[in-house]
Amino acid sequence: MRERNSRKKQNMPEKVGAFSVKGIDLSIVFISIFLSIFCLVFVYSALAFEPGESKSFLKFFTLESSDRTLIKTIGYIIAGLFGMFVLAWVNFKEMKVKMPALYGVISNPVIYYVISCGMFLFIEIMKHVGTDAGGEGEKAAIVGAGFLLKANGAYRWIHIPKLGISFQPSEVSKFLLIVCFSIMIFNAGMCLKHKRGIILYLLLAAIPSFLILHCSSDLSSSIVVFGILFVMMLVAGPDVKNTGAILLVLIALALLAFGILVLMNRGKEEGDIHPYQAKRILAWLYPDEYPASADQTNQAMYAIGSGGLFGEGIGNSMQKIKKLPEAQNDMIFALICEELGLFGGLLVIALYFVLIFRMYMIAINTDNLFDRMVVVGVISHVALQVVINVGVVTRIFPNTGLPLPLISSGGSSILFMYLELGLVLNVGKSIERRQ
Amino acid sequence: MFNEISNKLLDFLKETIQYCSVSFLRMIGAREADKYGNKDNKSNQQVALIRVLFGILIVAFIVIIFRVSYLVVFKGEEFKRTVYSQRQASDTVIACQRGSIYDAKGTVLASNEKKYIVVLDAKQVTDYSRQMGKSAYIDATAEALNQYLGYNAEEIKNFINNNPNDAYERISKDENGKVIALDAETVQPLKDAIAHSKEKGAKELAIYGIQFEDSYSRVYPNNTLACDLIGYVNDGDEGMYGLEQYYEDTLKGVNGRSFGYINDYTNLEKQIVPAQNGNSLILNVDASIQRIVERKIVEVNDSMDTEDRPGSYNTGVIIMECDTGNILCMAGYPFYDLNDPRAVTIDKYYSQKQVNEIMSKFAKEEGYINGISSNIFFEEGSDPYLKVLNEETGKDEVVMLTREQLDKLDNDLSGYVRDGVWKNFCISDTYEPGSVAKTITTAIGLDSGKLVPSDSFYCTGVIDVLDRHIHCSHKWGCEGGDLRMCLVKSCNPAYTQFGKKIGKKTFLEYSKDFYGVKTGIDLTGEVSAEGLIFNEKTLNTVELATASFGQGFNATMIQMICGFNSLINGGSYYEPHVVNRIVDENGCVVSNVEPKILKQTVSETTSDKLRDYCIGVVEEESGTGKKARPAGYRIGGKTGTAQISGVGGYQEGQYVVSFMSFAPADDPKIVMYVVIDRPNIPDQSSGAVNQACLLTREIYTEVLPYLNIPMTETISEKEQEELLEKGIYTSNIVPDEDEYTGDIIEGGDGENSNAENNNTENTNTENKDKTNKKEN
Repeated sequence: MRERNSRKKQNMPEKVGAFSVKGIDLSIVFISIFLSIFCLVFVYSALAFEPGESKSFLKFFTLESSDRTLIKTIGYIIAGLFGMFVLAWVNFKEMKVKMPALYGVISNPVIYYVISCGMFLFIEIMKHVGTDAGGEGEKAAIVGAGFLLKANGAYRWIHIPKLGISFQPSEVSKFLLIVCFSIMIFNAGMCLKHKRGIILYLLLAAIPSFLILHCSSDLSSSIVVFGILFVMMLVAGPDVKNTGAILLVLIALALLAFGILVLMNRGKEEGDIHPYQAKRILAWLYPDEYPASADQTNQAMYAIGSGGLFGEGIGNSMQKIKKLPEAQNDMIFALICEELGLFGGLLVIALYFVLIFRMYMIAINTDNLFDRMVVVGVISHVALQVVINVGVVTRIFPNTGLPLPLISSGGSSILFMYLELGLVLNVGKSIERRQ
Repeated sequence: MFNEISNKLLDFLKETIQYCSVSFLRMIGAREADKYGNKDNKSNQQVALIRVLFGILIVAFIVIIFRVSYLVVFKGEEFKRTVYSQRQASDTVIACQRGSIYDAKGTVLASNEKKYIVVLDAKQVTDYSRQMGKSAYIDATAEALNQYLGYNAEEIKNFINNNPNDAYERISKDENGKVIALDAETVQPLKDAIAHSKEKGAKELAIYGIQFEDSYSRVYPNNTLACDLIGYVNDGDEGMYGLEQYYEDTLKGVNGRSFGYINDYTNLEKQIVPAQNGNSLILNVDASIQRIVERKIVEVNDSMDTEDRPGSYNTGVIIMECDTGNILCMAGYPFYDLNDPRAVTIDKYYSQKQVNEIMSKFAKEEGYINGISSNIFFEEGSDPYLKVLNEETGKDEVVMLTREQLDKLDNDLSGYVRDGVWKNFCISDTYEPGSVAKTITTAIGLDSGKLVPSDSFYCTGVIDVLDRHIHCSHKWGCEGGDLRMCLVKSCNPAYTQFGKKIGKKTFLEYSKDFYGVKTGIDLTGEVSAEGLIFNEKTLNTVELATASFGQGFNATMIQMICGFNSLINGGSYYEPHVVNRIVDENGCVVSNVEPKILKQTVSETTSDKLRDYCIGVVEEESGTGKKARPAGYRIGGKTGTAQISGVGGYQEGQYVVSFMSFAPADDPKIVMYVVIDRPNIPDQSSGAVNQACLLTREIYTEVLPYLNIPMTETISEKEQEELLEKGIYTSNIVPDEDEYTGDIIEGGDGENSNAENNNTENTNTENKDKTNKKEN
């Protein structure tokens, strides 16, 4: 009865969309567009502060890097919106009937799984091909016979030579793995009833996570991928006792690893601590004793605190100049807080909350297991990245680099987040249809 | 047993592998799906789980919101300060140089000295020592600062250890913690040591993290010379008083900046905005004349100085060029040292009696006492007290002062004294001009036609204007005479009648040009005395009578000299200018200050007559300014003796004496005005004015030869001896005093002009005879 009520509540006004998509959740569309506007404003603000002559959008031939980034980001947002509407528009049930071959391909989880893992294996192979010069500092370098983009010593981008486009496989794999594991749970959900099945599922989830960590040294993405898949399992698991026990074991293991890292490295000179994750954890626990490692988070907190209630005004951030690294990326929330103040920060958090709430309503109202799993996966993706990203800049969590969904610059992240939202819209649409 | 277990294990493994492979194949869709909802609908459980997870998410969001709000609300101020302090580190000021001040001959009156502020860059030291893994670099820096500048090495070490991120700390401070700049000589050894320690193969550890910031501080090479005119620069590099304040915008430059920013490729680039130095001033003032005048002022004051009070409260001298309004010299005694303006102390400038008077006055203003007291009594073991005359009982009452009250009084007093010394007497102080104003009254009368030269008056010593008795300075009457003789004898009763003849309307109309208006001199602190003069309502019969001989209203020295200058130069009222031109740091002229005629006050004929009358004041037997005549020259002038008006009328025995003069008499080149405020001599009423005359004479004796104005008069033997003593008349005497360095040439010139004089002596005598005849 309750479900029925809530379903009525979200009964959308009957409108015919641009792609004749009936009954898509417009609030999700508008919030995502609004977040993209934040993205454009603050990415531009973070980059466009070079003193000197004022720039105009018309000076295409002498574009500054900030303008180039802006135009690139606009392109990705448009592509993302397009992809989102396409995914929302497709009717998979009809496709099953009309194009069984295509449906057979896209409903096969192995394809997604192989692509996800294959991208990282490709990185691993290309690392050893061609020159490996440059890319140690902030400046990016194209290495690996022109197929890899290396920055800060890590290989997080695959470069397509002829097109001159690079993308981040970890963002792609998040999208692919959500779909892949949703299909797998849909196909064999009952396997998760037993511990063996759960362990098998977790092993399957751990392989891409490990590849992300190993091949592109990206711990945070690896954690997020594993986290998404774990939450999906948690929701799908028919036996709560078993999944709960596994959850407790994993938490205990994580705490153990955490404790060992801290104990092993406590008391060492800052420069001697390895791996760098331990340095960040120690800097998080004792910011005064490890100033060099804590500096990035400190600068972010200075930015947030100095913004006050209504901020310095858009474009007036002082911290973005030299002090706040990755202001257009991982630290963009600090930049928003500095330029728009507490008001801006809370506005962003509220937008995410409403976005997640709409998706949550779809998740609890759909009856199809696959649909539910996709939505749960997307929710956990958005929620994990928002919570961890904001937690990092406010030192609730140790420093780790994750983009803020839709707001941080980064084409792959924006594009695939839109595609994920497109899947959610598709699911939401099917709820409407049934009524 | 073992077999059993291994069998079980094998079974378990087999089962697991089978289960997993089946599951896996199902997952990938290779086997028929084991669909979840088909057999065991767990939908409600899933919804519940999603709700729980969503609840956890809400908690996480609330935590985040609280954390962000906490950072903004409670840490906001602190972080804001941090953000600004971080900015300063990459943003340094390049000091600009304040413009210099030169006199007309190029002598430096004010310039700058380069000094250094020592800056400690703790970040650099810390970073370097971390990089090298040695904390010895911190010690090396601290030791170097200790060895060469005497800072406490421990404190420096502590500072570096406690503030490893502070890249900019000014450490050269005085004992009050104020940042000061050190002399070049002081920091040079440290600079050398740093350079030496960084050389290849140096044995010592390299010294890091010490930087030197340029700073310029103002120096006045001549100390007290022209102090009131120049003014000084305070700690905030702002000009105070005089030229320094008036030309603040011209003199001060614009500080440059050096700052870093991040360019297109995220590299730090340094941008430098160079400092703009200020422009310099070249004055009309001649330092040599200024020096002569100041020496003479000090001499005359020293001669009158007694234990209980100084020679005079103030002594002011202005010398102005007749035909341009350029100020050649402006001096206001007491003087102070421009390099240390705060060293003005009470006892240096005021006697104990004056101090007590002023303090009693302040005590009354502060409300500690309600009567008039003349002294504060200090006795050991008790608080200081005041004796106050109780007006009802006629007896002295004792009022005790507390320590705080006394401190307050002391404070007020030093402020009063400083202001008094720092301000320029010549433009900022007003007084009643006295008889000098008779020249202006005469000019008004002649120019308006209300008076004619033949107007005469017979003086009997006193005249009544309504209820007031106006006395002549000759007790039994000076007998008076025509207009000229009345001015020569400075007869007050005569001028009451002349004033009446001129009439209120004409007098007011003309006096607008002279009194109560600023002259527009380019110095800070000029007052107009607008509120201290007469106007249509207040100028009644008595006031008109007194105003005619210069009492009952106030004027400033600069007003009087500008007005008088216009009377004798043909009527042109020039704007007085101290600055001749403004030049930039390379010496190129930025702007010229041209002579400027503000108004035409009187006609040429009136001016001619006035000149003749003023010559009479000095040359006539009965003239009041006889004593002002310098040897070898003819001058004209007018004396002034004015009573000081205080609370309850004119004060007994307190006079301002003055002498306004021009030289040479026939073709005036310069006008000079000497004012002595309350000279310390017993008989002030009649003899005091001689002090002003004598000072005028002393100054002319040296300044006229310096200006290459030829002597025209015969010199008696006595005068010749006097001149010889001053080293003016012979080339044989080589002066050894510093002040004479500029005069060596003039000594020669003086001789040359003397030679000329000898040739023309006879003609001059004839001329003089002629004039005498005329007078007869």
